[in-house]
Amino acid sequence: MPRDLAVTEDPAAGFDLVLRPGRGRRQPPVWIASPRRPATGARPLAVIHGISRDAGGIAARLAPRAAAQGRVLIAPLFTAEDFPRYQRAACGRRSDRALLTLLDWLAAEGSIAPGAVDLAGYSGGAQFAHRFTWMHPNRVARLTVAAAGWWTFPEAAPFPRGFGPADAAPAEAARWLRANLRAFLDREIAVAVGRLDDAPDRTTRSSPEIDARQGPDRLTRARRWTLAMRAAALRLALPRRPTLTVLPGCGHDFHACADAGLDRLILPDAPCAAARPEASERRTPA
Amino acid sequence: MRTPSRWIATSPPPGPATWFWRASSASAATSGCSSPRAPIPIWEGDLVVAACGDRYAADQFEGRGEIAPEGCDLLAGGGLLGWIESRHARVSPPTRLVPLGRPIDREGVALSLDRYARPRPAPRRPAAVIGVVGSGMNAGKTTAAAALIRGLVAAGVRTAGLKATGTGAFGDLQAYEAAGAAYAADFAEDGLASTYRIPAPRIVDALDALLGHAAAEGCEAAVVEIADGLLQPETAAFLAGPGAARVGGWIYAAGDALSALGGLEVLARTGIRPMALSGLLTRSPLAMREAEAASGAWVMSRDELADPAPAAALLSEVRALREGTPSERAA
Repeated sequence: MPRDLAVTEDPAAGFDLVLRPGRGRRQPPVWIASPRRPATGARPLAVIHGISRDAGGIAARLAPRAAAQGRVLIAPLFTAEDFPRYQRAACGRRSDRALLTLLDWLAAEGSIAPGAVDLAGYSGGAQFAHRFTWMHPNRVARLTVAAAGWWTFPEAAPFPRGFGPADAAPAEAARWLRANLRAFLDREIAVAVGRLDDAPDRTTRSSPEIDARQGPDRLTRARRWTLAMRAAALRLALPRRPTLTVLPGCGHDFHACADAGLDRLILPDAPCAAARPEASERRTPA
Repeated sequence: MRTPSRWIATSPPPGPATWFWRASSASAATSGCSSPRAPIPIWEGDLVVAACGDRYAADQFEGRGEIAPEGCDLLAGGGLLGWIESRHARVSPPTRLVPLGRPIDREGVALSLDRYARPRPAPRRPAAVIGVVGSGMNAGKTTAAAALIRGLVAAGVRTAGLKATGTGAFGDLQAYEAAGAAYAADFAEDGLASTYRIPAPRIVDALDALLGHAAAEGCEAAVVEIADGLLQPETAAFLAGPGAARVGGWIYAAGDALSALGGLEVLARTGIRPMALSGLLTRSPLAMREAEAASGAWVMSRDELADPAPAAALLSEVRALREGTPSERAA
């Protein structure tokens, strides 16, 4: 079996960062940042990259804060060869199953604690993360999703725009999502987007249906999705509501967003605290 | 002609009596009674300890848990004694056993299985209980139950695998354990060697005990298999009675499309509308399509039940039904 590739050996770093090779198409490679002083009972954090697939960069950016909280951080790498459409989670090679396999493997070998993880995703990673959590609500305790290009809405449009039947997903995926809506919303969900991420770019998916329902850009789409999910939570009489945080001064750039407060949303100071005060839209302090 | 033994008729202890036996002829039957985990062959002359009980197995034997002085039959590989009332034409004659005596305890009291029942747990249940019923023996119930356990465990749900009716045996429990069940047990845990001809309230009582044990083991979900087919007397009574109320949602396993359709009609008479169809019919894509087209039901193969995404969806449906809370479909 290929060995881990150690990346960080700085004694002052507070964590060890390694790249663990994948195990075929069923289990992707993964960056693992292990704190040198792990906190007992701290939930692992899994972070999903966007289509630039910079899992290592995301892991390195968030690892110091995760280590300061004694938390293990993992960042799987969904390669373009093996998981070309990983964002959709239920399509093609089932990137959702690949992440489950990875989590089970890491828990079995003791690299992470067993049980639910906190999950975060940026851009394409946010697409994956919210669909994954919707399909597997018992595996995710807290969800942070930032700057998704487009979203799955709780309505009958074909998947992945909604939870209606679609050719691009298993025939019953729509039923999975429909049944799980309550369980999905019954957890802390934090949505974020850069204040300047307010114009479509070359990677923004566009179609008449998507633009009409979700809006032309990521800022509008994040607002509309949050509103739709809050309305669904209200219909289902759930006490929790997803929150939206608009990050000041940044566009579609993970590192800029992290500097503007996304890192604190993903890794709040009290990671296991009860849900924050409800707000349909918040702004992080500059 | 066999006659019921007076040894039992005079003063039977409560519960299935246990007996020492010597095998007088060994057929292809095996027994798990000497080993808690794997069936082993029985040879002529072997000494066996087994329990008396009735057997209902349409593909094998129907038998009564009574004995004759000259011996009796091994009705099930799990270690069940009695005499055969009818036998499937495909099945070889059973292993014959000659009685040596009854095992007794230090005070000289004859042993019986119910003395080894687990102490009663607190009256609790896992949050979600999913039942698996079928069109008959070998319809694929255990496969469906084990696959669903697998899917739920992969979905992050601590799950129990329970068998509420049938004949005590290790194979089904091993299948549940292999699928990842945190707790696997059948009615034998509550002192019953078999549930055939056992009054319905006693069967429900045993299921309550199993659900209590599962909850005490920290299981959030339980998959409960009901043995044999919908027309089997105890299964029919269970589905029509208070036992069914313990179950939040049902999977129906059928051998073919027509038995799927017929079974749905039988279940509908008791007010049960299964969440999904499964079973042997799902080995045939054509039969799956037939069943789906004829019934409009969700037909789930073993692999789909073992997939954590649909398994989690089934769990969500059960929770919504149990809590009576609005689901998105209703919203």
